[in-house]
Amino acid sequence: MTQNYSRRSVLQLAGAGSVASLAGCAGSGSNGNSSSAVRISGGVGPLPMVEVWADMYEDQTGVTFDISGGGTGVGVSDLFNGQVDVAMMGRDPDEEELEEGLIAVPMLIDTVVGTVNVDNPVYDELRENGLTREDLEAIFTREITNWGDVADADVDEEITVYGRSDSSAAYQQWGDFLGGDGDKHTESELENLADANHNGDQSVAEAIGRNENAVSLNNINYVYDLGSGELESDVRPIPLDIDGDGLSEDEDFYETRDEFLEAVEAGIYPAPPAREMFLAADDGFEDEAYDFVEWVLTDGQEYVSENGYVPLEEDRLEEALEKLAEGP
Amino acid sequence: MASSTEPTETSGGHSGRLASRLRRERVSSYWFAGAGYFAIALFGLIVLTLVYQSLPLLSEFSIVQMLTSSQWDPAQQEFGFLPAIVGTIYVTILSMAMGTPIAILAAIYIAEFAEGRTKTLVSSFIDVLAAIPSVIFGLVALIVVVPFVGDYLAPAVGSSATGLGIFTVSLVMAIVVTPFMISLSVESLESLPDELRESSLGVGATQWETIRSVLLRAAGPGIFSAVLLGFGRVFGATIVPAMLIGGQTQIPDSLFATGQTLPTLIVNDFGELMSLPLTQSALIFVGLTLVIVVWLFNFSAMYVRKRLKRRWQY
Repeated sequence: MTQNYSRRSVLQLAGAGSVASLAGCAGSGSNGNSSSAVRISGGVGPLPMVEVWADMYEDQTGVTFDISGGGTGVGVSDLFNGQVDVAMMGRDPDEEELEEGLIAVPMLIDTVVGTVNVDNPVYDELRENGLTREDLEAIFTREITNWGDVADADVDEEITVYGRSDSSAAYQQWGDFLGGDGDKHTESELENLADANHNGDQSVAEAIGRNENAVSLNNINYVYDLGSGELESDVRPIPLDIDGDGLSEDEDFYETRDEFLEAVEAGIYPAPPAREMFLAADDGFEDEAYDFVEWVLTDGQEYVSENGYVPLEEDRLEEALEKLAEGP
Repeated sequence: MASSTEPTETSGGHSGRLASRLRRERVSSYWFAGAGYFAIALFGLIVLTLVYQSLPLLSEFSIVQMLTSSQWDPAQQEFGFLPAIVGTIYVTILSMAMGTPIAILAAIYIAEFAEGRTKTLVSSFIDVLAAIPSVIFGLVALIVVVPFVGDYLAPAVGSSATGLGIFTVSLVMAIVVTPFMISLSVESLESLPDELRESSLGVGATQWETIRSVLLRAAGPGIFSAVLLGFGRVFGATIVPAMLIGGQTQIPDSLFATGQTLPTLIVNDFGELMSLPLTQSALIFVGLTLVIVVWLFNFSAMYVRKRLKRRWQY
C-alpha cells in the first residue's frame, strides 16, 4: 500500500518536473535566439564559406551565429516562417520567392566542372583538347555513348553518366550550361538521362573515382585537394574548349585550384557552370544580420579565394551593397 | 509533499486520508489518460497538417491523374507519382521475398536447434545487427554491394547497370530488416509452451514435423506480425534507398534499373525546392500518401492477425 502510494507520487512529481523543465527550455531557447544570435540556414554549397565568415566575424565583433544547412529550399522556407534571419542560396531566387518579399544579395561565385576518372580511356586526349559545350551536352543527353566517339582514339568503352539524385543547385546550373543560350535542361531531365544518380557531391566524386568510364560534374572543392589545391584524388576536371578549336593557352588552367579560380574570376571560365550564390532575407536585412552581410561584401571577400570559391567582381559588389542598403 | 500537511489526527483523520488518496488516484489516472490521448491527438495533428498542406496541389491537379502519370518534373510543374509508387512496390516485394524465408529459417534455427553458447552468440549478434543505424548499412553497401552488383551480378545477367538501383536497395533492405523479423519470430516461437513440443514428439512426430505442423502454426500470428513489421520498415525506409536507388523518376524497366521510392522522392527533392509552394505541396502530398498506406496496412494487419489467431488455435 504505502509503496504504491509513494510510487505514484514520484510519477506525478516526475511528470510535473518534466513539464516545468520543458517550459523552461522553450522559454530560454526563444529568448536566447532572438536577442543575441544571427540565425542562418540554407544551401550546403555556400555553407562552408559562411561558417568561416561567421567564425571570423564572431571573433571580431562578438556577435554569435546559429548556422545550419538543409538545402536552399529549406533555408528560404525557414526564412518565410520566421525561423532564421538569413538564408543561404545556391541558386538564383525564383520568381515566386521574390514575389513573397525575398531579398537576395550575391555573396560569391561557386564553380562546377565536368569530371572524369584519372584512368579514363581517353584522358590524355581530353587533357590535350578539352571538350566543347556541345560535346558535353551530347554526352550528358546520351547522343554519344562511347568514349571512342568523343576523342579520335581507338577506344571502345561505354560512357557511364552519373548525376545527382538529390536536387542540387549545381546540377541545375549544369543543366543551364549544357542547354546553351536560352535553352536549358531541367534537373529531372538530366536525372532521367543519367545511368545512375548519387546522393550528394561527395558520393558523386567517390563514384567517379571508382569507375574509369564514368563522367559527371562536381563542385571544384571535390576535384582539387582542399588543403593543397592540387589534383590528388582520382577525380579530374574536363577542360572546357570554349571556342571549339582545341585548348588554347588561355583555356589551359586546370592544373591547380588557384589557376582555375583566377580563370573564373577573370571570366574565362563561363558562368554557368560557374554560378553566383546569395544571402537572402525576408523583407530586408535587419540589425546584426545587416552588419554581417555588409562585412561579407567588403572585408569578408578577401577570404573567399583561399576557401575554394571566387570573390565577386568590384562592380557586382557595389551593386550588391546598393541592393542591401535599398532594402525591400 | 502532501503527506506532511496533515495537521491533526482527529476522528475525521481516517476518512480525510482516504479522500486524499482517492484524489491522488484520480489525478494520476488523468496523467495516464492524458498521455494516451496525446498520442491520438498527435496522429490527428500530423494527418491534418499533411492534408491542409496538400490542398494547394489537390486544387490544381486531380488525384487520379497524379497517381497515374509518370511525368515528374517540378521545374515544369509536372507531378506524376507513378514511378515512385511502382519503385516502392518493387523494392518492398523484392526485399520481403529475399528477407522473409531467411528470417523464418534463422528464427527456427535459433529457437529450436541452436543450443548453449552457439545460441547466445548467434542471437546476440542478430540483436547487434538490428541495432546498427541503417545509414551505416547504406555506407557499407555503397563501397561493397554497389560495385559487386555493377561489376559482377548485373553483367552476369546481361545488364549494363551501374550497381545503383532497385535490386541493390532491395538486397540491402532485406539485410536491414531480417534481424528485426528474426528477433520477433524467435520470441513468439520461444513463448510457446514446452508441452506442445513434448506431446507432438510424444506421438511420434519428428522434430521437423513438429516444427512444421505444430510450432509454426501456433506461432503463426506472431511470425506473421513480425513479417508485417518488416514490411512496414521496408515501405517507409528512407536513407538506404536514398543512398542506393540512383534517383531516377522513371518507371524501372528491369530489376537492376534505377528508380525512386515515395520516401526518397521526398528526401531528394525537398532540400532545394521546399520554398516553391506547389512543389512543397506535392512533396507533402507524397507524405500523406505514405502515411495513409502505412496506416491502412497496419490496420489490415491487425485484422488479419486477429482472424489468424482464431483459426490457428492449438
